[in-house]
Amino acid sequence: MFVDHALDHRPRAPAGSVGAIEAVGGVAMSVLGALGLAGLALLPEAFAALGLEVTPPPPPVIEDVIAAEFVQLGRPFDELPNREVPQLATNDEEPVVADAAQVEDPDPGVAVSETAEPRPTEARERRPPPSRTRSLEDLLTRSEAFAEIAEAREREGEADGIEGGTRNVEGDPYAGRFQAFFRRGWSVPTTLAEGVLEGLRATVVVRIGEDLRIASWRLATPSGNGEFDASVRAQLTRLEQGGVQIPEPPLESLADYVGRDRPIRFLGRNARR
Amino acid sequence: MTRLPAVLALALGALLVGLTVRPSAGQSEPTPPAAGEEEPLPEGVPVIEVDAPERALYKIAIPNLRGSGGAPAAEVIRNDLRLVSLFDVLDARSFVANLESEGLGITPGSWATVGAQGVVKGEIQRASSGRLRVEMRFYQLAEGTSPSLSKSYRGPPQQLRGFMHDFANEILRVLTGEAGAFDSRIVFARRVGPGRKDVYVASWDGASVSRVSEPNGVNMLPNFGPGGIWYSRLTETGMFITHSRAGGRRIIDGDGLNMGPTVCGNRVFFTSTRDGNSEIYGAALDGSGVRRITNHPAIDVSPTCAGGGKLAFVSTRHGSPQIFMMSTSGAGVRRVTYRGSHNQTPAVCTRNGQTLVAFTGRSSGLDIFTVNLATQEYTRLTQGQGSNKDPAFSPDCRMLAFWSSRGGVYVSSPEGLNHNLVIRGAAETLRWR
Repeated sequence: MFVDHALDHRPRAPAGSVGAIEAVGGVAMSVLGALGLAGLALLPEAFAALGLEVTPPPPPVIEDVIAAEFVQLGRPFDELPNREVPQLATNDEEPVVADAAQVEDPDPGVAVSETAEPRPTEARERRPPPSRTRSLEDLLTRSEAFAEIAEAREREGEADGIEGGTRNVEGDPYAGRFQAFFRRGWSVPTTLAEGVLEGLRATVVVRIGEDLRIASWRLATPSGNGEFDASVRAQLTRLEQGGVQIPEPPLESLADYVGRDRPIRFLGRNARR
Repeated sequence: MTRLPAVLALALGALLVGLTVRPSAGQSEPTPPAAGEEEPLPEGVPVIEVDAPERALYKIAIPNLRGSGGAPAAEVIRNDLRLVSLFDVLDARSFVANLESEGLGITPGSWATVGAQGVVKGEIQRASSGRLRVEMRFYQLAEGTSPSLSKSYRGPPQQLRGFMHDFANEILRVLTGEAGAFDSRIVFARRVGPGRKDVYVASWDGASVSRVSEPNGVNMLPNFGPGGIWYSRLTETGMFITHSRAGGRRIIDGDGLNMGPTVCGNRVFFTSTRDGNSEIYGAALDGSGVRRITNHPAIDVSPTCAGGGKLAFVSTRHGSPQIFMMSTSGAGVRRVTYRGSHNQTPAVCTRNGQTLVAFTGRSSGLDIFTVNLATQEYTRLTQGQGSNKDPAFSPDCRMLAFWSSRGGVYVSSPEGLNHNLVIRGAAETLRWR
């Protein structure tokens, strides 16, 4: 039989045949080993025959095993990253969220969000075709001093939740859409440092009319920071003057949102760039 | 003709007055409460919280200053605020305000119409002696018609740019709580011919580029420090360290190469091969008390101050050039960069508790990267834009300068946005203070 010595790591016998003493010793060791193993296997019965109790070992504890899953990397981790290339909002096919007053979506209950993911087909079919005027308005609205990285915007009614969501159980879907209505297009100046923004909050009281438009509003609790309050005022003024309708509330919630004063608190935390 | 009773007439008049003073559509808010005052909220109604606003550039209007030289003076401030990547400087052609009648004041409605959130006004007066008197104002429309900032400047005409930089610094202080660094300078080396390299210093916006080194030989690796601009000068036998006020005197000399000075506090740190290997050394500012900081058979070069009694440097001790940090005593050496195979020329800045290290990385060419020490998040600032190297942070950490083969020294935000060419021509080993 050919033995590949590269794989056979046993110590080799010296050149020549195995000696007689070595042969007898090897056989004897093998016999003793076999007898020892057999003895160990028969040990419990031996104890029982002698009237000695053998305490069986405790059963193994079965623990919950959590399968570890690892993220599959698309490229070697130790390489330097690529640059995030800003997406210039020049494609008039892309839906735009920046100015709710300019949204012409006939169905105010469907969110118009700017995201790389494909929109629901149903909503896409209902969206009116972009006109040249609207394309220019969208371009001007989205143009800034320099291209910004297009972030994923929240999508109302998304089954997987929305950006900024803090709960893992479904809450009030309409409250989320109502909140998104007031958040969409609200911006604060970059001169407000993150540490300052985190602690700023201003509360407005809004009254929605029967036509689902903002009938009146007032700044009930200023934040104390003029620029932050100005951003909140600008947002409410834009929504009011634009005559934008809030998403239609469900019948059972209509009285909670229409025809009564509704406090809305604007907080500077989690500002997005 | 029957006359209306007086009471009925009064009632009708009151009704008419009430109708005329009723707020029109789009102006729902009455006089808002003063800061700190609160109006009662509706009881029993849950409050809807709205957070995560977008960040938008602060829209600021900067018309030309009144008086002779007002246009270029205003352009200095516009350039400062445009490059710091926090402002949207509005186009002066869109202004509708009557600047002549406004003078140094503002008509808020005219500026709100063009979307301005802040307005800068100024006036230059020239005395018979030639000295200037400059009055500057900054208004925040959110704060009313009183200026948030007023400053007066007096001095010779050549100081006008400095006045404008100072006012821009103060605008940042008013808006952000921290002054800008628009009066700072960038120092760099430039090859001017065979066997000739000079050290230059320039205003960060590219104005007033001037040579500071001897007009001969090879001068390189400059940095700021007491005594002016420190730099290394090549000789036939090695390299020594001097500064612009030393008159050619050798501050730090020795066998081999002595180069790349960086002054941290009251000590200067540099690279030297005096012991046969490239190591980091420290010395007093007069060159005395030279003490070796690193002790490793690998190559250790490019020390730079990292704040908090620490140095960043480049070492090949792990096989390839990587960025490391250690204390100025040489203790606590730890590797900083773990991505990329060739990282060098570190620059360190700490802002808002976050420490960023900028470096030149090799990834299909030379490009600029930053790594956040706490989060180990890497950001690439350049890609597919020629070769880019030798980054330097501004003193306030709001901007990053680097040389680019696109034509000279560029300035961008630390995130790599808003690239702008500020100094044309060759430049290497930049430092900014």
